[in-house]
Amino acid sequence: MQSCDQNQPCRLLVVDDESIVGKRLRQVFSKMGFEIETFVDGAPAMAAMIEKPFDVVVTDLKMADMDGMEVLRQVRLLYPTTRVIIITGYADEATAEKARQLGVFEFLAKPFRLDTLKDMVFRALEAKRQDDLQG
Amino acid sequence: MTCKDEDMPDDHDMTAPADQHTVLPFFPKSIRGKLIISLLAVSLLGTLATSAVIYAMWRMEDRILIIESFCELNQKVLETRRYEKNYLLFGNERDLMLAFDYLDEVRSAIAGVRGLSPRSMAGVEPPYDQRLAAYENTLRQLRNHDLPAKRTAGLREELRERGSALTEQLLTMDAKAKQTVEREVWGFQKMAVYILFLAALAGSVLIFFLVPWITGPLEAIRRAAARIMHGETASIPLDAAIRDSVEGVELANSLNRMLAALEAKQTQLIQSAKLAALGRLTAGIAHEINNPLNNIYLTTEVLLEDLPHLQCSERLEMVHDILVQADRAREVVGNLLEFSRARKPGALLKIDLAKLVENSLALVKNQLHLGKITSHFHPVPAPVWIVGDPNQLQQVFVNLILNGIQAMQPGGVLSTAVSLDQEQHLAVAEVRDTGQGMPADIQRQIFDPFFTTKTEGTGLGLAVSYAIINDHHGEIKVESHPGQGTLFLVMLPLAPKE
Repeated sequence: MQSCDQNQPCRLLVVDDESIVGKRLRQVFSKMGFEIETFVDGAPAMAAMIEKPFDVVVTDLKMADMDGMEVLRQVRLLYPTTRVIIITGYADEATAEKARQLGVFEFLAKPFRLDTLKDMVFRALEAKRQDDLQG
Repeated sequence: MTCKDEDMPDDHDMTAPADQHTVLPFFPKSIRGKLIISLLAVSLLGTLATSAVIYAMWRMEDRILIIESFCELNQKVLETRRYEKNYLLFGNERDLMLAFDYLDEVRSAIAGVRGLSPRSMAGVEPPYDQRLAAYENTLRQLRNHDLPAKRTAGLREELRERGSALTEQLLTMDAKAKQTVEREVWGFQKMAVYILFLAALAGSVLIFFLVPWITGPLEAIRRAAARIMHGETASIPLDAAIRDSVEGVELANSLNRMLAALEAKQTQLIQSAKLAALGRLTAGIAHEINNPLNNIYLTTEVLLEDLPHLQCSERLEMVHDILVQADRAREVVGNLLEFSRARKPGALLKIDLAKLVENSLALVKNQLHLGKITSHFHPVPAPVWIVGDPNQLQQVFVNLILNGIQAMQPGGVLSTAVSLDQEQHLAVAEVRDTGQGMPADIQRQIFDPFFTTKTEGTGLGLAVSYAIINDHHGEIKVESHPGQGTLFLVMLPLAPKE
């Protein structure tokens, strides 16, 4: 089991309007001991976040109601130690720059390999752990 | 008259400019030169008119001098006769001598009159000299004291007669001279009026010919500019009217250079717009293909990792996912190819647009039912004939109707209508939904390839529809306000009447 604070399982939030992404990441990360929730829209994902915060958020950029940029903005505002990874099929330089200003942890271009994402999630967890120790 | 002779060459001058610029090689070819020539011509006319008037006044002064000299002569003669009268009354010898002396002055006055009179005037006629001599002769004889009294009385009578003849004749000559002078003065006045009138006339003729001559090249450039505006020509042609002036040629050349620069700039702009469109296209393609690819990657990797631990139903589902995502990617590429392929219309047929829209509605009947959408169709009573590819046009309307259905919540109303705009010779089809509408910034992008507000779909539907309607020489427009639904208008040219 991937444990975070007080030996609780690490919490991972996945927001992507491609439902297959949620389904597959659930299969992979729950097997690794993560507590994972998946959504195809930003708004219910934020509701779940407020109910019980997540350690790492993986979000797509382009979604129908609330896009990934807005998810990033709200998460960074509400939970500054939570790390946000953006996955996207295409992003121009202006979008990437804006995401960096909002404090994105990493930008991951689709299609990506599972290992890359896993590695990124572990690094995000480590970064958060450092923050929590200092805080 | 001499003045008439003088204005003849001038008359010739004023008509010259009209034809000289084609005849004479040295005629000015610049607007500056033309202006100088025109101003010179006008000032020449003015100078001529003024000098004519001055000449007339000078001649008039001359004639007044003649009248004055006649006056003087008259006075001298009267003076002589006054002494003559005194002598005849009082018999005083001294008066006789004075009259005699005065005759010399009369002679010099006559010489004065003659000196002033031109040949054209009678002046003092020669017989007057003889009469004067006869009068003098009588005077001389009276100086002789030895004459018998009878003879003296006769001479005195003769003297009176000859004297009065002198006066009378002088009066006649004076009147004649005055008449001549008056006639000449009137002539000069008339001449001055003629010259002024001629100058005014010449000025008008000058204006009539000079203005088009000077402004001709500019006018030609203006006309060429208007033709360029209408797209009839790309540059200002250096025709005869423009070549007629140096400035015109320079102006036309600069304008042509500017036009070429503008055209180059426009080509550049179109090029960069194409690049921007290509950029948007690339972004769209990347997004639409990378997503299914990503799904395939993820699913495959999970299958590879966990195959032994997965249940059979799970494996089947995942393999099915892979197939669906591969299909999706293929569809995107297919749509893209369809979009970029030269859309060669199939057979162009005469179609009833109302029927076509009705058929399109029938095709999406199931979607209307599923979305709980009410459909209203308002056809015109008579067929609306257009010419086009029925399959492509059907694709456009199915697309617009599906968009409308997807934009609405259950209970929405989809209205379609076909009408005629006889005035513009257009067939008009409307597709209206009662959905949430679109803000202006989205309206601007909806016909861009890969622009979509939906989570599903390729964003090519409206772009392809736009291209198809464009191929049919029609127009597709959108009217929408947030919260008030959306109206798509398709306008197509009516089929030519048989």
